[in-house]
Amino acid sequence: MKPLLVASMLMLTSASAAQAEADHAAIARASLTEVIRPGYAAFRDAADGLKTNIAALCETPSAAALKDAREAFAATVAAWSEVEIFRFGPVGEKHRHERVFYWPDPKGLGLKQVRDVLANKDEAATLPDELAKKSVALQGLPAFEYLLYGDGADGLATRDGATPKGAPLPEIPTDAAFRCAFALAAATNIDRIAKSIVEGWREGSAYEKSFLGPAPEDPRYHTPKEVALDLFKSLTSGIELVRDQKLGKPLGASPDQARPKLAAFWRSGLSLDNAAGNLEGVRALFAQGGFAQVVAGESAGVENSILFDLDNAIKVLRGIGAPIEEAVKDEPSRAKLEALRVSLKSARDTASDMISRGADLSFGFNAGDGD
Amino acid sequence: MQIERRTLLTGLASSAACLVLPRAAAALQLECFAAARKDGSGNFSAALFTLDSDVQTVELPDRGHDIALKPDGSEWVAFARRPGRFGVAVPVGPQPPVWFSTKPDRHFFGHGVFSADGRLLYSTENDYAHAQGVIGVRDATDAYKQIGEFSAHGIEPHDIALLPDGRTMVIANGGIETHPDSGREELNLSEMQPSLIYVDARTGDLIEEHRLAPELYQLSIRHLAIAAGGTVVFGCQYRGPEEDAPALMGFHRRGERPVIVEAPAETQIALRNYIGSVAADRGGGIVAASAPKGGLVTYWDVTARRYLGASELADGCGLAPTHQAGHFLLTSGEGWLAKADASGAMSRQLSDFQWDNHAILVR
Repeated sequence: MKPLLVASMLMLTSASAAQAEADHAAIARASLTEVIRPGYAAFRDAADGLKTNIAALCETPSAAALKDAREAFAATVAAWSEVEIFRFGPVGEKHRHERVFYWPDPKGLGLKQVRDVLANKDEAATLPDELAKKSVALQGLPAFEYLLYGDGADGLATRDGATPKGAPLPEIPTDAAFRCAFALAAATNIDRIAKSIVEGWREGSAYEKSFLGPAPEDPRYHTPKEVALDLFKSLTSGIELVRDQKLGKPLGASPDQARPKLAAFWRSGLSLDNAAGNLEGVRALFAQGGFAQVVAGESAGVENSILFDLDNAIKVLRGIGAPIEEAVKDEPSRAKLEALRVSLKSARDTASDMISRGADLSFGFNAGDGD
Repeated sequence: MQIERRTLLTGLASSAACLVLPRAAAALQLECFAAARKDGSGNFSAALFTLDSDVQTVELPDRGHDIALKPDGSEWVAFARRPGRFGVAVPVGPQPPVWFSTKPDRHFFGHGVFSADGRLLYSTENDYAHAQGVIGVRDATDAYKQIGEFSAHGIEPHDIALLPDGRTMVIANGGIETHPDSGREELNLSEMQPSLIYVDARTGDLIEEHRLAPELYQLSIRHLAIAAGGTVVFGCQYRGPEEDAPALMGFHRRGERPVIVEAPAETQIALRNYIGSVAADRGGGIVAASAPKGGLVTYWDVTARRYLGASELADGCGLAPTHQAGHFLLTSGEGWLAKADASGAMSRQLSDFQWDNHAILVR
């Protein structure tokens, strides 16, 4: 009868088990210090810049101020994209991940809620503390994108949108003034979430303790292996996220069946940058988080071919040079994206096989499945 | 090749022992179980098996989940794991399996149950366009054609069972919204509404509905078993902060309030906020609940509503009663088939399969 892969894993000698444990701890430490902390720090800085730019826009609206705000938004999306692949840790608490990035949203729930708030000029949405209690779909970057790029966004550049510094919003604000106040509350909220995540991972935090010193009585992680598994999962599911959700869904089977509006950030034209950023995050985790060494230990040189595939995919995504709604209708662009999806799959499968063998990591068949 | 022939022959021999004997005599024989699984080459199947060998297998196009048994034992049904759409009914005997599927705008959640007379098959399904749970009704006497559907009175109906009265059905509504366009992503964790629902199986009418305390809104009720005296024992998964580690096991009898019971503190934490399956033993006095994330199977006294003990089994999830009271079959994603009880004693053997979340005793 066919031997079962997992059966052979059970036969690890105690010496190699100790080695595996040391590897897991090394992966945890490298990932935290080299990837997770710098990634969230960059997101915090970008979110802080976004808040500052929106405050300036609301105070003194102009085409230039709107342009600056949109650039700050693009920088925030770029920084978020690199840490989006992580769903554990402080970002996994208090729905922070969903609050920053409520996506996918196939029913357009977020859009509907944002439009309702705009139509009703619901004052609570202009107060960061109140907004934080509202639907997660109203709080994050996709909702924010509609405020900066959706119908009526150009009004933000006109004097209608002005609210003097420190002044309260008038009882009956103009559409543009309300929109800007909502955007400022949203930016403030995102900035606060970003700061909470950075704070949650800081040196001496409870999360750092669980992550670097897992123990049987710890509520989060019992063993270094569990930590490494969470990171491994971010790596493989990060590639799947780009391949299937970010690209596969909008591309569809043919140009006629393409659904570009299923893409994240299509309004701002940042869809492909977002996907590229996700892969930058995966690349950082692979190269600096210790996984590349594991692969190299299994078969020297293969780590470079995985890096090559990731780098190439990032280059292709950055080089498409057209918004996704055009790219999915354009045969040469489609061909490039489809080829990229194939190479991502092979990179993911190779990395996954070698890491699960080399570092004795496998996802529970039942434990991992959420049923 | 030789190996395959041996499998087939053992299968046939056990088949005679397992299937042909009258049920009364079966207690003396090897137990016969059914479960879904995956082999070392990545193929999915469901099987009727003894601890010695396979008796009957059916290849599945994708990963399966639970098995429903016709009350007379003449057929077993395997369901696709969510968000799959296939089901297959396998007659115990030479007749070919009958394949069926959900409507195009539904998918299975992986669980189902037959009516007491065996004529109807009920299954938990997702009407995802409307984010509503439904119970599909199929005619087991006519190729499992779908003949109706009624509301599950909640989001994400998962496990489902028939009470001993043969008429009342109990449904565990997990309360988590998912959509096939988003894979298995959970879309509404901040607005979950899990519930335990009783309906009239003949009409679909709501008879009783229970929600947990508001602060437990992220405690997803997913699996259940009918134990002694019609007590419904349910196991939950908690989607809130990991360190909360709330109690995950509930006991309920019609007309009363559900009681949620904790394990001892160190075990409670070790369950990792996740119960994967629940099964009652032969007599219904003891219930086992698996915690695959924690690598534990816990045992509970149904009458006293208290924790009895645990067995350790990494990625252990599937549970079924055996012929012996208090003893269970345990299956794991790492290939183990084990028999164990609340004392923690366990005998186990390695198989060639990664066993899926659920198992049942066929006879």
